[in-house]
Amino acid sequence: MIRATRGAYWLAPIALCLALYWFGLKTWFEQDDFAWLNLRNHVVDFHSFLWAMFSPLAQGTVRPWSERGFFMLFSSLFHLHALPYHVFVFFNQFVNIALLGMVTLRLTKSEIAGFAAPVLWICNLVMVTPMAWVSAYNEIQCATFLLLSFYLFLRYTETGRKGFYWAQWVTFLLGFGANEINVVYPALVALYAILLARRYWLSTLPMFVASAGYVLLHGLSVSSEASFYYDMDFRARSLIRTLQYYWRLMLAFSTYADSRQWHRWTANLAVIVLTLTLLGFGAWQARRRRFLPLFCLGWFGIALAPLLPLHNHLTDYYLFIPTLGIAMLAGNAIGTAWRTPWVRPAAIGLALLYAVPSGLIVHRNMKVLFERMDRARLLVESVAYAKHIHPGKLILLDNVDDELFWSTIYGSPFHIFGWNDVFLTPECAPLIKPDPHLGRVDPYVLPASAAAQALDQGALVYAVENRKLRNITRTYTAVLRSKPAPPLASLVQLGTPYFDSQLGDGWYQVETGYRWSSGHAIVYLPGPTAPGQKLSVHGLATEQETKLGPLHFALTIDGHPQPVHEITAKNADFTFEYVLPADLIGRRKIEVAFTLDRVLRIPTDTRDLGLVFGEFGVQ
Amino acid sequence: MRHALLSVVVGLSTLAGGCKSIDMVELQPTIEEAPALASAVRVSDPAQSNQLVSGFYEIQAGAWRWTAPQFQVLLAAPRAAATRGAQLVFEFSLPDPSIASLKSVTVGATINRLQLPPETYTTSGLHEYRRDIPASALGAPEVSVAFSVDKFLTPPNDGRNLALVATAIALEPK
Repeated sequence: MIRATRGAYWLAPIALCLALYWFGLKTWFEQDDFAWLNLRNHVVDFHSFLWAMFSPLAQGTVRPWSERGFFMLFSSLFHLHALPYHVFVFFNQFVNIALLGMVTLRLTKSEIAGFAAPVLWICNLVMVTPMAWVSAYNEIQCATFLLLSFYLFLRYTETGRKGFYWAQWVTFLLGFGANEINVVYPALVALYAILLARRYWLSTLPMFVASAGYVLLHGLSVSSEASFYYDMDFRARSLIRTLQYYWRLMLAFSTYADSRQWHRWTANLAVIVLTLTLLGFGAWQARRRRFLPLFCLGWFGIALAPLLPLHNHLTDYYLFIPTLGIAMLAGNAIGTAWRTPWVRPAAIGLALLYAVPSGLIVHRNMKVLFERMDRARLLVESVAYAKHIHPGKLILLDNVDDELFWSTIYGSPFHIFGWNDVFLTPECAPLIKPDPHLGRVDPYVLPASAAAQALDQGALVYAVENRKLRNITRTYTAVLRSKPAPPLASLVQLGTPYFDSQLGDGWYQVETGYRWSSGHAIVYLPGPTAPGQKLSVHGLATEQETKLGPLHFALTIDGHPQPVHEITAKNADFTFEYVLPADLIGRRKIEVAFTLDRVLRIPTDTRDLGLVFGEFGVQ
Repeated sequence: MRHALLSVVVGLSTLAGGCKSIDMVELQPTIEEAPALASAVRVSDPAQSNQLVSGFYEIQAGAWRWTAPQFQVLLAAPRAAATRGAQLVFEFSLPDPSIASLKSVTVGATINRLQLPPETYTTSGLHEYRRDIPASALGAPEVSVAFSVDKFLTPPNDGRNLALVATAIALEPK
């Protein structure tokens, strides 16, 4: 190839990537991004830095390079300016495109295949989330480690040079810091070695030990608490159903047909044609003792296998790494077809049958994500402006809808700035569809009684309008005052000053996010609205208190004594629940009182300290 | 590969260098409230639409708006209202088709939780709903007035519940 052609050969897939995912450079942040962006605020010394980098978070994951380190480095350099994050992500994806081309070229010895594989991979709609959402960058980085490790292994099998083998070990081990799916790498290379480089398969075995060790460590760090979204179902029927879902999603046509409301049979027909082509090509090649297609299918299956039991968490970007195998397979098929001129049109036609609908979905979905994150940006930047012109004021947000809540507010973006006093108005609660598996909406909403008190203390109310926040404090206040007195809040957050009217004797001033009680204290709550509702009490005993022996917590609900709880070091951070007596249903106000069998005295403090509390709530 | 890596490092260093003094986040100006509310509102004046809290439809013919059966407006209390009280005046009209269909329409109002006596109208044309407001209900500089109407029209293929044709609402000093 002449130099210009060679340049175009490598740059064309990158240019296509830029064209398809251009919106990804302009997207902002959402959801988990805000937690990661806030992570560096928890780092105060080397110990907390190690915690932030390596302690298991979010379903027990430890991804120091792709999440913790990446976000902490970029947020310390660029704060909430999203472009540099996305530029880096795009560069990393360009590396993946080049690596996929190089690997396919080496595997197939076909320049057509080496070109087609990355082009087809880029067109896949499962790229959308990682290319637009910074929190899904881990998929892109993990793909780099896997492709690079595999490329080095290929070079090792081609040259026999041990340097490649050990370099592969380094990239393989580093891959664990990107995404836990890296554990499948030994299976991938072992399959390759068994099918195509039998002499080297023994050299892959030690890597299984590394993966097994990682699985063991990861298993120890995963919370044993049941989680709906991460529930695993290993029954064959469930696994097949999930596999079928991912296979259809990957072939894209059915998603496109659904979006156009075409007949189901058109989607089914296209899926069948594409499936038969890929599997048929694999079978035909296997009969001729060419096992590369089997390896590519194996890549897909192996990389997807650990994710198949997650039947409640079907996520498009889980296919990001498995689709590398199918892209290599399709590249191989096109490269093979290209050698027979009369088959070329069919190969091109089939490639277009997949790539065009997928590309159209990519364009549409990128725009959807851009617009959703742009709403998040406008909200956060507008609140920042409001905080700038009204320093120290509590802000209530009105007219926040379901999408804006779950994409933005739920991720607590305001904590990044240290603002713990941005809440939703009670009128927002009915606009938000609760998801009990994800979390509670209540802590984000200031109840009407607390809102009235906050407004008396100078809080501001902003309504979310099209692309702006409008200050509606005066209107909102006047309307609130014209209504009957609001009921008591069913959730009292003791770490804020807006529930003081529901506190009786025995409480000290608010401290940062919590409040000390004395040895006996009272909270007023509304009665339950239905049978079976519970009173939930969340609090904390300090180490100094538990050192002195068990502490006894005796609570009464409107005079009804409840079972006494013992608090020790084991349950120092406690949440106690009590079934509310049925005779209290519908009562406007009930008294919840508790007594401790001893208090703590600190030499520099004159107070009798009971416990630290966060919330009292009727649920 | 080396060139690509070098480009990334150089690019990021340049960005970092250039962004050293950037703010945490860009600021997006909000729409702040007008400095003062009026005690009299012409519902056809777009500049006063911020005082129409709820229940008003679009401006019609540059002069009036249909209201829903419940509607709410925010008014500034007139000077000395906290000691002398004020009068609430609501100017509206009932079109012929409304009266022909509904026969009578009763209008009531609540001002700062104080229920005002309702009034029933049985003829079409211009009307006025006028009530004395005691000083005790006008303690705050801004008051919310909530109106309710017992009957309304729902034209086919419209989707709106049309109660009254509103033109002006005011708190007049005594």
